[in-house]
Amino acid sequence: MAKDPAHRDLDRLLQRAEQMLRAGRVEKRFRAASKSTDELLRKLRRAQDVDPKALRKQVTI
Amino acid sequence: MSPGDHPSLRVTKYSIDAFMQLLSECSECTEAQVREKLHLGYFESYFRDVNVRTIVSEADYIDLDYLTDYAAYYVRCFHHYRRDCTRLHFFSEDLSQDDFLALLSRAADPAAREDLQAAYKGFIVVRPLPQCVIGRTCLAHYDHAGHRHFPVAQPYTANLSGLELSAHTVPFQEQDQVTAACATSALWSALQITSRLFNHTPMPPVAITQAATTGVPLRSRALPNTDGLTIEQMAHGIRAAGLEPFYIDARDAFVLRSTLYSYLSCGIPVLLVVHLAGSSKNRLDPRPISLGYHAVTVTGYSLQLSDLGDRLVRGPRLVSDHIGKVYAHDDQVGPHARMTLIRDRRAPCLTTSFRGPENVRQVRAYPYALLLPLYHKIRIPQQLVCDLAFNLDRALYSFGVLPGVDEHLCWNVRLLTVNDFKREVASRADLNDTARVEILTTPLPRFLWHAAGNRGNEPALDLVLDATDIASGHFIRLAFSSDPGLLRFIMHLADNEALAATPPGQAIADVAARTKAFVVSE
Repeated sequence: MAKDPAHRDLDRLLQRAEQMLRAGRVEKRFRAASKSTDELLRKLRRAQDVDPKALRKQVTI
Repeated sequence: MSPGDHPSLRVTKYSIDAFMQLLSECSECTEAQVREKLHLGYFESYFRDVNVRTIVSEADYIDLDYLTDYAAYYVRCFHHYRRDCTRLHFFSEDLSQDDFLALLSRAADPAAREDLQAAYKGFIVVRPLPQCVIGRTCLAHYDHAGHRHFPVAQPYTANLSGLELSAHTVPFQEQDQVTAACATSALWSALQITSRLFNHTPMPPVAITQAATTGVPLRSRALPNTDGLTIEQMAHGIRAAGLEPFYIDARDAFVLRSTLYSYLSCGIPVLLVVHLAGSSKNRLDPRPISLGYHAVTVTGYSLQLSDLGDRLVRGPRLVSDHIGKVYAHDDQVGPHARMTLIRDRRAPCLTTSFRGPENVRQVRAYPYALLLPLYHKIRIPQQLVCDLAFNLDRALYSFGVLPGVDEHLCWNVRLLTVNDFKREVASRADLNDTARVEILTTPLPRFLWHAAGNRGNEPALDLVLDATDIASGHFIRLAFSSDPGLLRFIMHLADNEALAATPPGQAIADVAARTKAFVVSE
């Protein structure tokens, strides 16, 4: 039975991902994207941490 | 009394001199002192921009905030301070005293009321004090002009001799340096809005100062409040209103932009603490001169889509990266004061009209911290939502399933109420009727995070997260997309053992496992 267009899209994406995995490109792209992603996520996480230095510094507004 | 002579109502043709004279007449401030105020330059420019033509002054006006401050402080002074204020109303239409009285006589006529409402720009309560005369001020925010956004603003209604007139704004007032410092004024503006959003009692300035200093006492006396408040005391002031203070270190431009955007989108005003510093007028002395810390209430932002912020964009992006300016209630400058985000050698900073002492030129505001007055049930922070969206984005990029120029999505991460979210879904053109009905009938919590990944201007993937859940919970209530292939890729990736075993495969499988429902719009 012929697949509907949405499933054809899914198959196409899965095939593409498998090809990239076999070619070793998935890991390479993951590493390349990790640098900027991790840096942004680290900034957001750090912004929520209470900096002990900031606690010692009494800021009056 | 002649027919047009009504001592409680006076209509004046607008000019900055006429405004100055009214401020002086209605207070104990001399014209020379009024002329010295930094606010005057701001108001002159604002009134020009919104085309103010007429001022109607309403004498013997009782203002609740001033009256509470008066009862707590001014009434016990030996000097006889007045307890009544004057309220100045601003209109962008030429009106004479006779015109205005004629309008009042036709107050029942809806057309007359609509005309007057269209010309109404808001009001300023003038306090009868010696210097700090700008009391509760509700002036309409600037036009959107396609790029300015004031999601925090709400309609504030004034009843002027039976005429109900409203302005879309956030209340503002100048610190009186007795019952309130700038931190109190910023808190007061924010709590005026949250009292409507989260149903708590609005607090007058003196009550905020007292509440803030009760649990965390000041080194010196609280009233007159000349020392200001610490960040801990500001947080305590927020708790006194029944809300939770959420502290964010704002010394990074990405954090500043993304946090402001995410929470302002839900109409929550954000308190921004800045470090003011200027450079010396002596050009041979390059050292920055510190002018101390200052607090403002951020009410809006400007999105400049051509500007990609200060970071080189290669990786996940946020719509908030395009914020070029923020608008803030700065009690030393004025309401909705424009602050442009720039980058100097040291850190991201904001331009300000704040005037320093004689030896200082070009004062800059360096963001230090953000303080968010949150309803206690808003538990999941924006950082967790970005974590999830960025990890998913990286995984989809790794598998090459996001065709496009840079193969990343641009994420619009916002805190929303369920009503606002469903209102948006009801008008989304990219969803078919079945998907729309399914989303609209899905039970959702009152507060939710909406992370919408866009490819160019086209929506690609939407994640809806329960903001009231716990961080380790299955808080993705809904994932939907009008790209069936992309959504099914996320749903079924775990079935492909080879792909699921990779780090990006695990990230996608984790999102799928934490998602309660998927809705595909075919």
